[in-house]
Amino acid sequence: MDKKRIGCLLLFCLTFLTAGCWDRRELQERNFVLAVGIDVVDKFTPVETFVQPHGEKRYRLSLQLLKPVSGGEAKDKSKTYVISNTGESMFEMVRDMLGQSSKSLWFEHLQVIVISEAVLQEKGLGEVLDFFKRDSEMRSRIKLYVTSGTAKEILEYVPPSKEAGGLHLAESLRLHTRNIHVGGARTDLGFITQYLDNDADIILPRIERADKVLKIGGAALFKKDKFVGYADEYAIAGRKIAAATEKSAIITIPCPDHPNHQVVFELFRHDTTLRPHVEGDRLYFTLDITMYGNIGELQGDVELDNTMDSEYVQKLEIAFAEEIKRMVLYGETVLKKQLKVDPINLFAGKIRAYEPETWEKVKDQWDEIYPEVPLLISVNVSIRNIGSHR
Amino acid sequence: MRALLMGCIGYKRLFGCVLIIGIALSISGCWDWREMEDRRIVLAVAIDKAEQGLGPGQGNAVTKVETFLQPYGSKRYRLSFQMLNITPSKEGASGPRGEVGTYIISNTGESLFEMIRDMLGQVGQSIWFEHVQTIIISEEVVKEGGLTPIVDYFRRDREMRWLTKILITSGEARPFLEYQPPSGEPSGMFIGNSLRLYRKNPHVPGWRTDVGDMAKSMDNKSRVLMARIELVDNVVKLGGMALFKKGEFIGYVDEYATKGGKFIGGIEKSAIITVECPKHPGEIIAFELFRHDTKLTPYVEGENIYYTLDIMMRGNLGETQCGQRHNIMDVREIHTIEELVAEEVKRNVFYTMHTYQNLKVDASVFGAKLQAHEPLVWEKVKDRWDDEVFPHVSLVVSVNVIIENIGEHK
Repeated sequence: MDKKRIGCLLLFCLTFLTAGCWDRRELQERNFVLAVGIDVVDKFTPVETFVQPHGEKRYRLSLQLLKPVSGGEAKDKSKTYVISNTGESMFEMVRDMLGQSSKSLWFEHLQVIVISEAVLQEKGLGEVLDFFKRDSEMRSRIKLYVTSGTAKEILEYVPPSKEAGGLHLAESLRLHTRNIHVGGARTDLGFITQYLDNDADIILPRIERADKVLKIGGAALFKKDKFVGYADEYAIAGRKIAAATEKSAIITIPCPDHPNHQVVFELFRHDTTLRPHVEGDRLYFTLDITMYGNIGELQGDVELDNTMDSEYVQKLEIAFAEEIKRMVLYGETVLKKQLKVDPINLFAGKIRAYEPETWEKVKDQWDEIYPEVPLLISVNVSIRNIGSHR
Repeated sequence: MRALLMGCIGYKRLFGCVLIIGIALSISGCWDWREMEDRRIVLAVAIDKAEQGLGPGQGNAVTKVETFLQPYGSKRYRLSFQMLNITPSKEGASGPRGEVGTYIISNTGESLFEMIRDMLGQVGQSIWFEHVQTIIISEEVVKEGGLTPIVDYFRRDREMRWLTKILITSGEARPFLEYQPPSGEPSGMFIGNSLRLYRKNPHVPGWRTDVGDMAKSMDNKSRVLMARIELVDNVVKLGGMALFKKGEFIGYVDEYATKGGKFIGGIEKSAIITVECPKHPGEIIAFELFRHDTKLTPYVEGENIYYTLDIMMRGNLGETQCGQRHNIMDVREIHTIEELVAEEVKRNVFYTMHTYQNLKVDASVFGAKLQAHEPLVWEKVKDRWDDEVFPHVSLVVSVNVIIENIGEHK
């Protein structure tokens, strides 16, 4: 009898434990933050702030929030809105912004963080991102952008497709494997956190807005966590080829026979090997690239530049190889010689992996050695399909 | 006939039949039904001075209509209601679903009840107050007539709910009703819900600021706290609070003092406490409070009354602005920060205490604690508590902070 009673009681208690809904939170009770923008405080706004016991009004933090809209009725309206606040500690600002929102803020679906250049001129990347690195709500796949304008304007951008702005920004960056102008490999928050911890140089994609046009292209470079400058699309293309982070690429050259026409190579597959070599005191790298792809476009006259002619195709292959070499060297000039950065530890990592003893010797002076290390490039292009017909 | 009936069914059966018919009539239940669309639901109330709170483009002609001939009193207040528009949105004509339509009606007069009944002439159906979310009062009104006459109706009427939020603004109150939150909800609900986040936002009061709490405080002749809200250029924000004593407006206290007040009362659930980095001046380190144990105890020694406040806080390191330059992994560093946070909490508590004492308002629970622990002493001092005794009580604060997680990785 006692056993039965205890059993009943146990069962009764279990119903409470297993019901499971005690801490449920409905979707419409959450305010999803899709994008975060970090700017310097340019002009004082009376309401969007609070009395601060410590620090100064250093940053303007803007959050892009998702507007919950049901059904397909609001197709022509923006799905997001932006609120902002000023202060120094991001965490303090986020909590103060609850006074501007009717639901608590959820960062678990945060897609992108946009940082304005003005902030990075003053502060290191690690200091700006500290809250996002430390907080448990932040995901490692959050995308990061740098803009030379104001980040808030980028958050306020409504894509013509009317999708939520933050999603648009993140999806756009995910196409980096096919868009050679975007330095988007290993730039998520998780990677950046790793690189910051390892004192590596960092590369972040650049985004610009002018009026109603938003575009990604080029990248911002960081020496450790200090912003040093931008690299243009061509330099990024060269760097991506050296680092083998491109999947597909479009490479253009003037036609070898008729230089006012362009011929375009579409990269399909490549085999890239970057190796360090040590000969006595000399340290150098070799980069061997084999590329397979198609002729994607021929601007000239097909009668004159006949791609059916194998000699002409061979001529093109050589010209493409030259162009790729030039591209990689241009990237090296900008990143290595001018900005003196080695983002994502591409070269340093190779030495450490292949020549650990040499690395031990050079690692302390690596910053001085790196800009002088030569790179020997050999490129082999093989054109598979020409897309011509007769 | 009668004989015929009795012959057929008998007295008892007849009685039973009548009973059944009678019950059927009385339990059908819908005799006093009122459909949703027959109600005019008020979401928010704004109280301004009569000459303020005009709608956009609203001239004197309209004001002349929005009133009535008053046998007694003056045109003192302007009462505005945000009404829920529950007519279904037509294809293309109205806003999308998810955006709830509202409109505003207003009236001027002195008695709130009189105005409300006169406003029935401005709406087609009767007005329902049971879903009022927010009441917003402009500072000018309370400065002129005090709080008591304004809120009397809300305390007395049975349609008013005790969990309605009541807020104060330094400007006009009506623009808050016109404000359209970007999320699409009506501003009355937006503001009410925003105030409910007070547990995570240390800068808003939100404890004991509902209409019911206010009514209780006024009955006990103690202070009233009211959250402050401001609107500039289509940006609405809550932060700080206003203090009232005996129905009189005493003043505002800022976010920092509000935060300290929450520490004293032990009502914060989560809070961000910032300290300046010991190694990098100007840079901030933020502590995120998770759990705390706060105890306020009064002590009486002869004439002298003092309090001890013991706070034990546990939480995480939320942010360091000095970032990479500062190695937080070191245990000694953590201890330094723990001590700094404790110092900061102490500083914050004293800041609040001095603010309250300067304003001569016991805006926390000091009086109540004395009443509970030392009822005899309380009886002696209660009449001069706020003005004479409270400004001179001392507070001994001891804070202990433990940082549990630092969120650091290597």
